[in-house]
Amino acid sequence: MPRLLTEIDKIRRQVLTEVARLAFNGQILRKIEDLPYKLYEQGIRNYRCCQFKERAVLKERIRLALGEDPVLDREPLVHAAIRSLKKEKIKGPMLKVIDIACDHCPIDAILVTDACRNCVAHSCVNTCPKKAIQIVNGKAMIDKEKCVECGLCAKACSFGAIVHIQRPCERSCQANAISSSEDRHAIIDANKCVACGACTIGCPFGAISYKSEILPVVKKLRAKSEVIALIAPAIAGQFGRGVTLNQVVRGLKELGFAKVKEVALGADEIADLEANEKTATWLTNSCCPAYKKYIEKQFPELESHLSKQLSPMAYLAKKIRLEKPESYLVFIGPCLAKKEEVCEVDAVLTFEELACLFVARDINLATLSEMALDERATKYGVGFACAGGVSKAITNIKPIKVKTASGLEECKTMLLLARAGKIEADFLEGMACLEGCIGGPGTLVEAKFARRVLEKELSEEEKELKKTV
Amino acid sequence: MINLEICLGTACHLMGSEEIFSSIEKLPKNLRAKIIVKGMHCLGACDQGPNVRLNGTIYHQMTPLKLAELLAEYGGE
Ligand code: FES
Repeated sequence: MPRLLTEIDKIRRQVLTEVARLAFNGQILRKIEDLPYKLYEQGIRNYRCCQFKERAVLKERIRLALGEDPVLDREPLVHAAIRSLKKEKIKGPMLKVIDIACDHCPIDAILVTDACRNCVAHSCVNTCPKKAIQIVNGKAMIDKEKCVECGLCAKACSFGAIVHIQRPCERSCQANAISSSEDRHAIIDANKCVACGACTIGCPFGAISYKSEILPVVKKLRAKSEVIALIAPAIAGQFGRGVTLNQVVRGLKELGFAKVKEVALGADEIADLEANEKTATWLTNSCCPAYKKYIEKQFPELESHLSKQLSPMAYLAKKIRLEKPESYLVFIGPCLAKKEEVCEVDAVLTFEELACLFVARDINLATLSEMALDERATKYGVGFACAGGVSKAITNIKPIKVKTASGLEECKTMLLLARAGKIEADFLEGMACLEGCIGGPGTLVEAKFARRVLEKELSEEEKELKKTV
Repeated sequence: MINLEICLGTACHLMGSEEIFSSIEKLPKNLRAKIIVKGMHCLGACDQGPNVRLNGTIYHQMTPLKLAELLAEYGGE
């Protein structure tokens, strides 16, 4: 997780687990209507005005768990469920605003606080490019008509007495895709959104969340189709200390997955291809879908620098599809943007969604025996999970100059410099999430914990290798 | 000594038992020294996680903050 778990995460997980439980038991249609009441009784309450609103919000969260858009009308949940059960695939955009949960935060963007000392320098008045600040009754006052909310005065004040408040959703979105409607609820502009999912973490009311794909996956598992799990490199440590990757593999089998494949296998091959890709100047990675979209939408002139390779997920999926055309491919990872990546993968689950499936089936990974994967990727492929990992894999193949950035903010700086020709590197690595995939919104543990586990695993693997040589 | 058992089962993990675990490392040294931590597979109350057991008593829906308070109480005895 990019930050500590909040009540919002717990509610989302409870909802997903309950919906998954109903789905596994074939009780969705019979029991979905009662779920908001049940969850409310279980204690999800007390931070809205009344039980009616509480349940109305829960209803929208359930709709998302079913893979449906929140609508806020009187449509019974069962109608949404019927529609959803018929669907083969949940279609994007996956990130949705739950209007009724949105607090319509007031945006008095620039605020003069009581800390204003009516000093002599009046840096605020002097820096304001719109002459919107006057001193009234011994205090700076902002003329809202003139203010353009640039925030320069807030920076200029020596006391820090002027604050620049942004709505948390808007601030979290580095793609500037979130704005507010006239009645101030949040709107996501699909043309700008890169689906990184930062807003789902940014909003402290839990008003932005994602459409889940648990329903189609459970459907396939119950039908005993050949469901194949493609697990992202970031899986190391996600299910907690004391649970090994091999136990997760066993758990997946118990859930009904026919096979488990590491996406890191694809990463190994992509690193090879990217290291040898010919470009005039510099090349940048195409494996992070949010970063790739960010370039396409905000830096279209740099698009030609994007690697032409498929993402490791898409690459591996294509390969498996050739061998097993009938199989149902489920990518499991930390990423929300992957849910919108178009490729051979049939469904994308986050680690969070997978954990909810385990709990819904009463599968306790900690108690399971181990089950090894039949094929392991190299440490370089697995390393794709952390920021800097792609670069490491590539420089291992070919000694070239790299530059890395993680978090869209850093990516933006890197791209601006690159566009201005101010970066001397052959390869730019951009990851939309801070710390790389292990910092993704669909993760279950803090990034620094995940990194520790991953590094330990990789060094042990090295020891093993040395032993065998 | 305080015997602290933290459930590492998947149901508790989903609700944040890893954070409970790592919060122990951040406790004041003298308190930390009094605690014997043990990871458990399940404490039998999976729908009320994260669960911990302190000297034999189960506590549900733990948060790092709640646990720190409890431990301070136990440690003061
Ligand atoms: S998993 Fe923690 S009590 Fe059962």
